[in-house]
Amino acid sequence: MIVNPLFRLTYSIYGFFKRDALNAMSYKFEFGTSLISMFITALSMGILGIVTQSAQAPYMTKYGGMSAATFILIGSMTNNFLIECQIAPREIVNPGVTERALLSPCRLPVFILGQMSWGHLWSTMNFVVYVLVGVTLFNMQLQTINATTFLAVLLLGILCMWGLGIIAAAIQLVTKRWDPISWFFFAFTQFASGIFYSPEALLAFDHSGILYSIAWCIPHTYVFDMIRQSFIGRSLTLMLPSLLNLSVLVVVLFGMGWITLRLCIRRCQVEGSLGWA
Amino acid sequence: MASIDHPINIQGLNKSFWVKTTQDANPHVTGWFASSLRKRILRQKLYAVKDVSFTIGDSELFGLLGPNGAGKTTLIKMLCTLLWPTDGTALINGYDIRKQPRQVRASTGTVLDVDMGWYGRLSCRQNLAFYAQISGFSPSQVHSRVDEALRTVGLRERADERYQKLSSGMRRKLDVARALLPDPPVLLLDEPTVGMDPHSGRNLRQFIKQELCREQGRSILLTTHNMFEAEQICDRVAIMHKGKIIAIDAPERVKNFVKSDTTIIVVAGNVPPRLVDDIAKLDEVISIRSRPISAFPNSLRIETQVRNPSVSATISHIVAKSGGLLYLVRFEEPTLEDALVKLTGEQ
Repeated sequence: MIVNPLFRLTYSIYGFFKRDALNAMSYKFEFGTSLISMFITALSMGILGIVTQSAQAPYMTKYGGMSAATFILIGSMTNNFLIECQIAPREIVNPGVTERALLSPCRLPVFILGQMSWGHLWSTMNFVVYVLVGVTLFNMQLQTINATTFLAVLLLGILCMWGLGIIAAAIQLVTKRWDPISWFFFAFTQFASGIFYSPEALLAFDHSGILYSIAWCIPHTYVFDMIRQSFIGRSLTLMLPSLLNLSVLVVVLFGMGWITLRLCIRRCQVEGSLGWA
Repeated sequence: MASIDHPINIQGLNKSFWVKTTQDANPHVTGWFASSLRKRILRQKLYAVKDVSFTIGDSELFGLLGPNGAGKTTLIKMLCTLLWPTDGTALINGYDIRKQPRQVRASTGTVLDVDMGWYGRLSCRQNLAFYAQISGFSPSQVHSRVDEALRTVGLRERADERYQKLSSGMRRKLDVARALLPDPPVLLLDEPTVGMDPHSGRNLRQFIKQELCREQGRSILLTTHNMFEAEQICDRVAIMHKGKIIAIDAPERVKNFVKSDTTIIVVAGNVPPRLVDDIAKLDEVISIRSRPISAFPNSLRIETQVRNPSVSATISHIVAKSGGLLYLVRFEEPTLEDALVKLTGEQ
């Protein structure tokens, strides 16, 4: 039977997705509480926005006077999505999984995409919950959204995070320990890239502007900024410098990630350390 | 694609690792730091597999034996492309493990000694369906292959049971079922019966020999520590020691390597004190040991390893001449285990 290669590829990825979905659904209580947690966290982010509205107001002009609640909700939901993209590739270093997948004729890209598929659906659900909470309780406006800009920026963000995640996973495959790259990005993103407050707010206490400059060297800052701008209807042409910077980061990180992963797998195959021990 | 007269064709395969060793550099250094200064760390090349070459034919069940650390698992891992060889190569179904790893994996089913990658809360069928799906089968093929694999290993009735509820024997069978999913002509089984009770082990052995090898015509490379298993089911065996193949032939012939060392068991009563010494003086005797038989006073069980079985007549004569009563004289043929112990020089 001749099977369309694209269908076969999608069906293989669906295999990973189905496995993880079945596994997650088998823990019914945990599954249910995780869903409830999403709503509670979204609610608390919105309340945080209302509480900090007056302090955040000076930095909202760039985003057309967006409310702080919407600002934080967008930052938080985008951050959750990016975090999932960044940690999902680490699924490939699960004990036994890599070894078993490399024993099958499954191609490496299919394996990576498949391992990440369930996590991505989960983070998309999280995204939807935040939007629902934002629209119904915190006056988040969806009428003005520029869908093209939003999707393009999100796609670039996903690719960037995959690149970072794959580099981290590759390092972990060799060292079998927590990698420093993930740590740096998790820590610095929370602090400076604009999840809860605009990066411009950093200038209020760091007058040298060093932190502000560093913030614009990491891809998360561009993604948060451009996603927020897409919510007020800005098109990509109005954000060309940021778009270009983000695109360069995508090429560099994704390329580096792919090369690093192949090198690290080969190194493990030479050393015989593909398993966890 | 190369000729596939031999589904497995290993050609001068080597695998070396760099290991760190310490050496005394300056024994004259004293003081609290002496222990660290005296030692010099050296990097040493260690061969896990060295210059291994052999072929396995169609429908052949080939056993790889050897003590721990002999290199059996390393060899299997190279053949299934999990490990990259340092030197040499192997053809599996005519595909080169270095140049065509995907084709090798597609035509090989592998069961590793410690097999992971199972999902405890998924059923046997769901677990297998996942592996069939990622191997590139279409939806209809996934169902038929999973059913076929479950039927082959006799787990069809337990198909919808969660993996975590299976006994270790059934888990091992599921490992084999997973290896059978692509319907591979070559199977690599790394200690397939390890951890199984005698009954399950015997069933799986029979299944491997009769069903997988004889009826389905697959070529199988099996590693084992169980000499009885190898003797019982393998067409040919190779003994590996320190990464090298030191003997390769049919089990009967490998045993012949030590056949000259026949063991004679003598049980005698009313034995005088010097009897064991008298037997030990014979030129043909290699070793001798004895122990009293508690049920019969003044009786001994003498176990002697001899170069020539005909010496049994002389031993009987010595026993009779000393006034002892000969209850039993029995020959023990060397086992594959004797051959392995002798060839590897390990006890």
